[in-house]
Amino acid sequence: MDEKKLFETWAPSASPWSAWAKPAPFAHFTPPATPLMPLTRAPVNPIAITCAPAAAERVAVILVLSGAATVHAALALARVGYRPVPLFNSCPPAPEYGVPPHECAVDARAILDALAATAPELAALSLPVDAPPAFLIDAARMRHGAPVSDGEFDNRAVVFAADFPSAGFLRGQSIRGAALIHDTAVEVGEDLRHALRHWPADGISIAAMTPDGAPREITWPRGGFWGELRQRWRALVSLRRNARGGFGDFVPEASGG
Amino acid sequence: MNTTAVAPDCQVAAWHCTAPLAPETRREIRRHLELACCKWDAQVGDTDTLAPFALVLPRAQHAALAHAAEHLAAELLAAETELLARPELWLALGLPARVRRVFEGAEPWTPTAARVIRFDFHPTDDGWRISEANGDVPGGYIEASDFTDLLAAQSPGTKSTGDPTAALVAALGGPAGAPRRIALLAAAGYGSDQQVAAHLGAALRRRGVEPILTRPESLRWEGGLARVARPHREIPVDAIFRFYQGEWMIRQRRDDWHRLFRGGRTPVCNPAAAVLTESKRLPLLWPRLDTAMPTWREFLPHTSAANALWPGSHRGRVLKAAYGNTGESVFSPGWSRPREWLAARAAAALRPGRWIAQARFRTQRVATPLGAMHPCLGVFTVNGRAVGTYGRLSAGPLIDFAAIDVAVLVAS
Repeated sequence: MDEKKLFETWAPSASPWSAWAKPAPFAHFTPPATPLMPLTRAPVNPIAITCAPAAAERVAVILVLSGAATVHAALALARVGYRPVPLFNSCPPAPEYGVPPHECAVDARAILDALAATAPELAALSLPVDAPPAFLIDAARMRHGAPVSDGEFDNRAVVFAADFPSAGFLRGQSIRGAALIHDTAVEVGEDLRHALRHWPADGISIAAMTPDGAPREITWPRGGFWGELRQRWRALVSLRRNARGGFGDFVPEASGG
Repeated sequence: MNTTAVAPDCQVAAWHCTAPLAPETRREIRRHLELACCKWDAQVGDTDTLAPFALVLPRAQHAALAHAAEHLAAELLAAETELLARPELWLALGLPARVRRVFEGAEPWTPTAARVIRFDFHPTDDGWRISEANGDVPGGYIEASDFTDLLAAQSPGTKSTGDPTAALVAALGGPAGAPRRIALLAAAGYGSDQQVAAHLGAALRRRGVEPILTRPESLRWEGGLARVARPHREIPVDAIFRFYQGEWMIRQRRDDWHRLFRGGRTPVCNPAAAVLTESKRLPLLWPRLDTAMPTWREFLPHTSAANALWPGSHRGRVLKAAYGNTGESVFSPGWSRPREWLAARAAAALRPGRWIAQARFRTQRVATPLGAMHPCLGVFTVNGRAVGTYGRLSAGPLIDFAAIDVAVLVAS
């Protein structure tokens, strides 16, 4: 399986949700038959998702677990009728760099390997075109705020509202609500709360819960111009105050004009 | 270059769009760009940002734009040379104080690896206008190179308007076959920035140059020469490509970032001068410069200080922050919400040295398969030569992050 077939498996042309699948990690796929670095990571402990509504209820799931566990849990959701939509933005380093996983801020290689390992089963499921989406996000995308040391391969990532379809598009696909299933041990990231805050305002309510179904409190950030301004200011200040080792959190805009 | 470029008539009626691509071809092109060319932000919200058609200009029309861009570049480079020697003018540019202090150092300016600029042209009722020069960290390489090539291949009777990636890589890479290693700096966490570094890195590698994708914090300097820190070692590099805005450098924990601008011996693209002329307040300095800017005066709308808060002030004008480059810091009653417009006016009145007011122009629209849209043609120059065009289309008059990318071709 090459990178094109792998991406097609996770983002098939026929699915209305595939447009949002993030290509970045797939572009770095190299067949695991020729590993360029020793893989010494521990096996992934599968996390049971017992709280997802039945697919027939037409609820969009946002599944936020740490690392490769997200992929394995997504496959479990696929088995009950959800279409997994990978929104992983972190890239592993190019193989020629020879950077081992423990020298990366985020172990994106583990996620990519899991995507490749589970692709045959996902393909065999033959999900219906109108399967509701399960958007997959790595809870460790910003390494939980831990600093990145000098020399580490910095592949942290943030999510934005533009990474998701609008509430209007969801409604157009007969999606009635959303379930945010989030890693129990991790705070819901401010970037994710900002990214999703438009859905409730536009009629797609979001129920936040842990993987075993316990409800989670979530505070949506203030919207509007002043809310955005406040968020950006806080991010700028906190990045300097917390000395996270450069930013990768919120900044007002990308560099490229 | 001692003649000015005459603002060419836009002749929008002579432009046309190619027929929309078949859905399967469109998907194939997007997949290729995503997986082989590092285009990782083709979807923005509900919008597929890759237009399924190309915009075709008469050859002479595009040649006139390229000619104008080269004149604009020549004047800008001359102004930069003068500005570097006139620190008394820097305060008026709105440059952050920490950057200004670095620029005021005594060490020699860090040498230039290449100079890349993108001039954004808008067709208006009064001829072509530029909104600004993206002179510090212009983006759009993937779209203006690979995407444009792919659409040209699908559009008989047309040809591409250039290949900025190839031109920049050639300028950075030096003579073919020369062993070189180039660091590409981009902000961690931002896919839209990382994709540019990855795209240029892949093109450099094809040329035989070793790219090192990294972030500014990982640069080390020894005797003015740059190295990239990796665990347990430091890798020397021959040049640096900076896809990281100059004014952001003040957020670095380390203080040796100043060598990107002064005191470094490793050449950098873009150099310190780009940070000076990236300021949208540059036109306010024209009367104090010895450098004549006739082409800029012809193409840039009238620009003035922004220090009036009362209602009715700035009528017919837009307010722009001195530094900011994706349209998010451009405000007008025409597209900003009332409270945003008020906030911008208040901010400009409180810190007038960080803002400008610019005459608003009315862009012409072009008929496309998606309806009438406002085009913006960004002409890249590398070391003063026009090398390609980045096209964008917007439903509204403001070209911002929500605009879609369109391949710009010429009739062959």
